[in-house]
Amino acid sequence: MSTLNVKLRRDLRRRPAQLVSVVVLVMLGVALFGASYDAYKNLDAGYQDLFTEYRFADLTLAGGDTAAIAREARAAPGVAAAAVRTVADVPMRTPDGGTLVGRVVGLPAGTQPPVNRVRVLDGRYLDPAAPTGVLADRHLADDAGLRPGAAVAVWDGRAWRNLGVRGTASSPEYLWPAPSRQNVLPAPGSFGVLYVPEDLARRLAGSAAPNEVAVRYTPEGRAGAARLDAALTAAARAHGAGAATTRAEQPSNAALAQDIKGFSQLAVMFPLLFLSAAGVAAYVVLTRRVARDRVVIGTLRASGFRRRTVVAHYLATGAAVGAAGAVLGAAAGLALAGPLTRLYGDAIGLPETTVTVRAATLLYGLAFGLAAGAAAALAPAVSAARVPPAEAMRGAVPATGGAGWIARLERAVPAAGRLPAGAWLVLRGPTRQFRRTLYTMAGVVLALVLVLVSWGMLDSSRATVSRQFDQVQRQDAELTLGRPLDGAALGALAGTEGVRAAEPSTRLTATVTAGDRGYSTTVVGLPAGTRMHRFLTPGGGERSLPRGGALLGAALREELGVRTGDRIGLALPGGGTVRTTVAGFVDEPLGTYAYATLDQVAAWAPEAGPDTVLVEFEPGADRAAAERALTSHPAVVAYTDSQALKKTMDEYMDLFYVFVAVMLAFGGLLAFTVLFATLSVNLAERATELAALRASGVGRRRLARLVTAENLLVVAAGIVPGLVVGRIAAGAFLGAFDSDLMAFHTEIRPATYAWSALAVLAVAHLAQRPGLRGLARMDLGGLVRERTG
Amino acid sequence: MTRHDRGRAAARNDPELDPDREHGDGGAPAVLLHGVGKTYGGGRAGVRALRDVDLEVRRGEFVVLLGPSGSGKTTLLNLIGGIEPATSGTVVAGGRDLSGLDEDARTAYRRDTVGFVFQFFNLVPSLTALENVRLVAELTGRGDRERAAAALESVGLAGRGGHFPAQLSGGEQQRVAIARAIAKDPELLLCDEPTGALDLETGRGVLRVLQDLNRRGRTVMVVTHNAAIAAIAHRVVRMRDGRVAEVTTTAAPAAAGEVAW
Repeated sequence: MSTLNVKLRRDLRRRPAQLVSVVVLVMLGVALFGASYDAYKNLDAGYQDLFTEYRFADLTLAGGDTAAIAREARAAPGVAAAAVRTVADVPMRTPDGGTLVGRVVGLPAGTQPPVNRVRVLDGRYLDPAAPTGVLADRHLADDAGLRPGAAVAVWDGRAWRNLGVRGTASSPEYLWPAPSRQNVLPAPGSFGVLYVPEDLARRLAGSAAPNEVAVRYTPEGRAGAARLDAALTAAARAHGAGAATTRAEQPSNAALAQDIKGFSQLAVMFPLLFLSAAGVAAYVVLTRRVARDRVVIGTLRASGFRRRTVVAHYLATGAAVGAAGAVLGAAAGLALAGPLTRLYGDAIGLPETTVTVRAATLLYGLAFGLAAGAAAALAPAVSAARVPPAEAMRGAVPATGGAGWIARLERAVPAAGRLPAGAWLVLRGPTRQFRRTLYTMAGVVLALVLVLVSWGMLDSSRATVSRQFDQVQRQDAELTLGRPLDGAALGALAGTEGVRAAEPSTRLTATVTAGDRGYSTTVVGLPAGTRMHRFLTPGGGERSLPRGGALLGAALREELGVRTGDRIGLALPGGGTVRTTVAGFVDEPLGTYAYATLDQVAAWAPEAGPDTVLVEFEPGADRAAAERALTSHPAVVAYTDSQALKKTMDEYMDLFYVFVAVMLAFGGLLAFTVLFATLSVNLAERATELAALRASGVGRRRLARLVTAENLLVVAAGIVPGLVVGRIAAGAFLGAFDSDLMAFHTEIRPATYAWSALAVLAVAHLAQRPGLRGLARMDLGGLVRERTG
Repeated sequence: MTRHDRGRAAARNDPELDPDREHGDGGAPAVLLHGVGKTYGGGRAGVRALRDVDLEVRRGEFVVLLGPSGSGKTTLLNLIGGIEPATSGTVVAGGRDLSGLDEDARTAYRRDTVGFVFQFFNLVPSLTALENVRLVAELTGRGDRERAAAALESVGLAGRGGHFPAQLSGGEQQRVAIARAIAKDPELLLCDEPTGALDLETGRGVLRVLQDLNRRGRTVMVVTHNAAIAAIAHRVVRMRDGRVAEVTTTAAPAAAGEVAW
């Protein structure tokens, strides 16, 4: 081993805590990357496998002459299969007494369909010999406790029919139980799917023929999916089809894809934060080492060592630290990828997950760790090579002068001169090694980004829920009617004990079209002066429901390229299209709906009378008693608690708190390790002058207070940009979740900023403790004889 | 009387045994060491830096501790200054026995009694000369602004108070360090190689300041390996292998300006 390598090895063992902090940061970065990126890839691969296995539809066309549409689709190049089926939303009653508006999906009774298969998890598949035997989707089965042998009552438009549950099943269409793109977050128990024999589905839907065509493409067809989607949609519309839903738009897939997209961003962003922090810490530590080694470097250079030898020597230190962290991190990442994949897969309902070790992820992780260490070492290494030998050997240490903004401040504010010298020690300290101060601040910024992105997610989720359920949606319950609403029924429902108000409402599935673009949504009809719904505008204001035309969800401005006053089409389920005007836009958290008055909806679709009643309870009303009273009314076939999702979200907040606590711990760890490295370097660099002050009789507690004040001043200076950058990063990250499915505004509470800042200050205080303890233990005799530097 | 005994007697400043005694106020000694030993480390690897040292320094004396590297002179200065405790024997300074003091008490002793001057100045680079002086005075609560300015003036740097260390010469920096040490008005000024990093002319300037401070009644102890500096001392304590080898008294110390090396 060369002597330089011996020096390198021994240097690595000198002040090991500083280097260990860098290793820990690299390790965390690489481990997080390895675990989360592999988990993301596993999930993505699992999805694709699932889609293949279940023959998940590439395009679903609703309405029109489905037989003709299917026939034409099968003939199109690139289409592997096209299947017709009947899908209908119907009221259901579960054995536990719950009522809901669920969905029946028709399947061939004796065999799996060629498109959109299901997997039977428990019990048996449909049987022609059991024409009323059905399969319960696993979410409904879980929510209502359904097992094979149970019975579910379904409203067929005239009466309740009892259907026997043959088994439970899962489907790629309902991995996430989203009934529509307007409702991707149904409260548990408020939506469920039954897979029923196709004949039964038609009877329940009151339909003579299937109403949907599910089309599956060949791999070649999928390669040109956009073109094929457009061609098949155009052909289907010619046969009277309404909504066309691509695989990407399919509600469950869209919701999960968005979730996984967010996860994939986390898989890159969080590791990047840690690797950046590692870079900051490595740079600070190595810069200090170069400064301390100036005389040695000068001697080596004077002795004929080439610049590149010096560069390589210090670069090797960074690379060694990066490599150590990368190897440990890659190992940890490998170990964590499986559990994380399974955890996430369980959470989103993947029936099975496959964990694959990806050499590429491993190599990327190792490369990232190595690169972080080496890149951080590059600048100190190059500066080491540039040390002029003569100057270095004289031991001339560059000292700080009084230039800069502090000096200008002193000149501008004469009273500043009367400040105690201790105050100047604190104020000027950060300017001594300004670059290190900036790097310390960068560490604070990185930690705050991590914390605010995590905490911002919690705050924004709460704000989104509150905006939806406290501001936009005012009703407490939604009643689905089994027969047309009349004045007497409405009066009876409004007069129910505990009910303050009741309003009729109509829900109409339609496709909003503008030019060649279309968007399938629900048109909600409400009384002109509705008190059940507030219409918040994108500008932050509020407006009323217009007498004519439709209010559209703000996402449609971009989706359809329309503006207020533009003419749009509404393709209705019956096959007709009506023309109307965009009266304005609303900014709502959940779903992208179209709103119009009841009269306007009746004008568009005379056959679509009010089918639901929105109910508001008296404050303090006995909700359970009111529910019982309302559901006992003969017109009511299903009761949906409109606040259930809010309650569920509140319950889930505990999980969110755990997530935020974990992220806070990571943020704290990141802040601690970076600040430990920078602050301990700061203290080490001043050891001689601090020892001189101690020798002069300055008490260690007093000295510790001064050092603490200076350190916290730097950290506080980093907190200001940290909060700003953290807010921007949170906005950018959470923006990934902002779509027509959910308008996710970034809202971070002032208290969150305050607590985040305090947490970082507290961590900084902890991070300097080892250094401060060193103050008490310092070898005064030895240090006061050392040359500063 | 052997040469060693004579050294011990002179070191104790015993008038019976040290007929050369001429300087000092004759009151309680500023520093009194008896049987002092200092060992670093333990076991077979332990290094005995000082062995059985006796020494008495009178108030107002200017004492130079002279010796080669490793002779124990800096260790001796550190024990007298309360920077580290002795392993054996007693060290009495400023009327206090330092032997049993804990770190806090030694800090208080250093604050109240001792001023230190180091070879490499050890100034805070981000503070001006005046602020460096004020800092110690403020933090030890033993000085005020006026005294800090006066201390700087007394070392001939009245006009340089606003300059940062990087803007001062080596000699000026050392004089700032001296001003920092005396601003809290210590009884005892301990200087470790104060001219070690300076050229002849600058070093003379620093010695001139120390001599001047001594003439104004301060007890000054200077550690050096530079034998030429011994000429300005009242007494010279020569050390070798951790022991006091010889103590000599100078009847007429030279002026700092006359010293050459």
